[in-house]
Amino acid sequence: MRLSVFLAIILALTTPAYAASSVVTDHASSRLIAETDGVEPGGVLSLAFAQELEDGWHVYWKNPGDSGLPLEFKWRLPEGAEAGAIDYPAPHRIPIGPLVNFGHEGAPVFLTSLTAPADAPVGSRFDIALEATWLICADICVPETGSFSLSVPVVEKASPDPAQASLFAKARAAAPSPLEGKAHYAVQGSTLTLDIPAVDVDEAYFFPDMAGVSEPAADQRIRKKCDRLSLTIVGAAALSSIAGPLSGVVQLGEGDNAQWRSLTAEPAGVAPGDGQKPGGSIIALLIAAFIGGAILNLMPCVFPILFVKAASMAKAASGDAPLLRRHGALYGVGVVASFAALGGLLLVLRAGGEEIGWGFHLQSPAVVALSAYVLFAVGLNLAGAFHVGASVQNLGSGLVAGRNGDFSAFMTGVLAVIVAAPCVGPLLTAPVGAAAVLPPFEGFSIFIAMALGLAAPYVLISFAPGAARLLPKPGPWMDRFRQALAFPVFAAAGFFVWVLAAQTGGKGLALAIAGLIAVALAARLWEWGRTTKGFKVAALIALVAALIPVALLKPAEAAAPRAGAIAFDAADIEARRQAGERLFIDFTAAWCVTCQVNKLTVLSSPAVKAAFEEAGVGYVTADWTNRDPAIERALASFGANGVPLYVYYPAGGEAIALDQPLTERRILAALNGAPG
Amino acid sequence: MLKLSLLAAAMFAAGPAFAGPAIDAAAPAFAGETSAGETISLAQFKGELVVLEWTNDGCPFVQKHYQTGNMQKTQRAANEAGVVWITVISSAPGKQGHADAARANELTVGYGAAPDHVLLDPEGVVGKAYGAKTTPQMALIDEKGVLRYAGAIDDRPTADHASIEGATNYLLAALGEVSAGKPVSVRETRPYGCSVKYGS
Repeated sequence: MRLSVFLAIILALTTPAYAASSVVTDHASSRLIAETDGVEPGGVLSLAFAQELEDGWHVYWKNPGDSGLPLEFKWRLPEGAEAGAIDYPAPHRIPIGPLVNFGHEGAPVFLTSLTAPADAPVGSRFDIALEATWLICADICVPETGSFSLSVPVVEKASPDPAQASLFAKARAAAPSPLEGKAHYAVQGSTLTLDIPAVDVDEAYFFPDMAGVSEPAADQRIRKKCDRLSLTIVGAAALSSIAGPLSGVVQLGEGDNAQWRSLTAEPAGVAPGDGQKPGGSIIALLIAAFIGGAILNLMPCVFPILFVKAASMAKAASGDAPLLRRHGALYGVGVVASFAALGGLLLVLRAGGEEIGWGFHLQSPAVVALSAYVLFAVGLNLAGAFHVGASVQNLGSGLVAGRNGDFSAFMTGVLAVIVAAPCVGPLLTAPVGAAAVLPPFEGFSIFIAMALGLAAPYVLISFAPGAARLLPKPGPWMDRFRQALAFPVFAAAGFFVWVLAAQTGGKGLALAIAGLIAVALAARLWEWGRTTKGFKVAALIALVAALIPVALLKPAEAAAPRAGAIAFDAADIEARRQAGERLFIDFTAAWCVTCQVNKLTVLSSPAVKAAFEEAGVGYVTADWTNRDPAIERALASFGANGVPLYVYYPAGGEAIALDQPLTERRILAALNGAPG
Repeated sequence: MLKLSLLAAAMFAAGPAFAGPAIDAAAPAFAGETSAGETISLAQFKGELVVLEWTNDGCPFVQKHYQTGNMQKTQRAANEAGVVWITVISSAPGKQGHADAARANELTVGYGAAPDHVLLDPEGVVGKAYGAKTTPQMALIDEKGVLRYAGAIDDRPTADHASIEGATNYLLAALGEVSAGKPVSVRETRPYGCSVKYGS
């Protein structure tokens, strides 16, 4: 006779009937034990289901892992009584060949509770019956069942049964205690990231309560940063169904010093590890978005347009201050409305499962071509090739087609947003990336903060009394300056044409040039139309003709990566990493100005090239000029939502996303193993 | 500025996982010897629907389906739909459920089972290619070689024989939908049962 069986029989003989009920099966002996000597009417009776398992055999946690089944209780209770959930002891990983199960060996104690009916008369008995089913496995599995019954007196005042006190105390001590501090999680594709307050351990493992959320046999990568610890977990089929809080148990450390903490993680759009509370980080993101938006005003894409706007304001400032304020406000509304539209569209498409990111509108050749047209037309107008609006004096309304100054102010705001997109610099990468994964309200707020930042300088100047006085005095120089500004705008148009060529190849370039000629023709015809009737109609026809090439644009096949570069392929990259190769991934797009600047200055510098060569780093180009869901997912896994992004993989090490702005020093530091 | 590097998470899988192939993608190719001594490969069944069933006759969950006749019934229904049914035995030699050709044939006859082939996979190659974790576990591959369903046979994760009645047979549901040219509504479920007894 096995010792455990013997013990069970001894226990059964020596314990009063109300306190415990025992069953011995082939591979386990199990007892149902009440903690107290009775139950009060309406009171809670704590129970332990204590098992002693045969050596080498295990039973399962609530999430059994790759195979197996959890404990199942079927109660037969007096009417009005209620059964509580099962509190499982801390789970252990039990490897079975290449699989891993979550379960318990030795002598697990499962705690649960029953609530007695409130009207149970004192002096009567609370009779309960339990049919418990458990799967017990060694190499092989056997389902076992046991029937248990207890008859507990209903009493005025229940007292703990001293004989069971240590069993209950031990079981409670062995159960996972709640994690101190907040836990967050994020899901990116099939990867789950859990973020908890830092603990001084080198190993950690998360057991989700729900089965099928994670791959039990996969290693969980631990990463410590400041006061946070994050775990990267390979997800399984049920991960995609997770919404709202995610509960589970995290094991901290291994072996004798291991500790288990139960937790409920809240979804966090901001990828974990940023060392801030969610409230703090959203505010930081909003501030970053606002500042980034304000800095956009100085970018080459936006500056000429706003300068002309400001110059026209200086002229008007001498007289009509209320009109100035009105146009300032309308410009702000234009900016905010455009960002709201773009942000809303982005979030709606996200919700629909589209894999898109910031700058996505520039992935459409038609949008790029139209941007080139608009900028070209603006340049022609600035240069004086044609005039729009009633008065040549009113530069503001001349900027964008339309006679109405109000409409013009609004459209200037819209235009500022459209042309700003290629210049969305490193400052905005993090907020925009976060916006796409945050809940809709927070995500939308970030777009609005960015819009307010972009609109703020101009709106403030138009509202601040006296601010306009700081602007240079109007004079004949303004016409010349305005004409001079045509050339940066032509340069911007040229940039869009170049992007288009990258997207659509030589044929697209030819179509775009044909379209631009039609735009120029329309401008000339329009100018003639100012004196001779009929030409304006011809101008509109020419403008419509300019749209025909736009409709014919088609994205070309993926362009060849730069000489010596490796084209982006997630599987290939993983294979190269497994083989111990060092890799540098350049996430870029033709329409991303920052990317192009980095490529020309930093990435092509002799020092960087030599360092790459010396260290044997493979240069991977992930070209996002046209839509590519694989690159989109890769960006998302770094919490980024747009380009540029630079990632370095040391040999056998973890990925390092380089801080921006990108500098030679940062790249060399990363290659030398210093923190990025 | 918020540091992007702080946001960096694993770009690709964090470590080796025992995970199955993606649903609605090409099913992993395999070839192997059957209990009839033939060599079969997935490629030869192109143009036909293929069901894979992992089994282990010593496993109480498998026994639930065979002793109640549920698995045989499912096999016959699949046969009528023109499906190639391949029962796979991935138990390693010396482990529960391992069978050589003779024993595999005895089991088939003894249960009155109706598989088209019993694939002997003692090295667990096919099992691992499909991420087979439990017995029973099912996979459905369409005419084009695309994996359309993977997971449990039904929605009753228990070894209790009485659970067969009223259970939803996921495999037959998926089979019906694929045969009708419809998308499969439940494409992936968590399989239940005994762990597959791999050698390593």
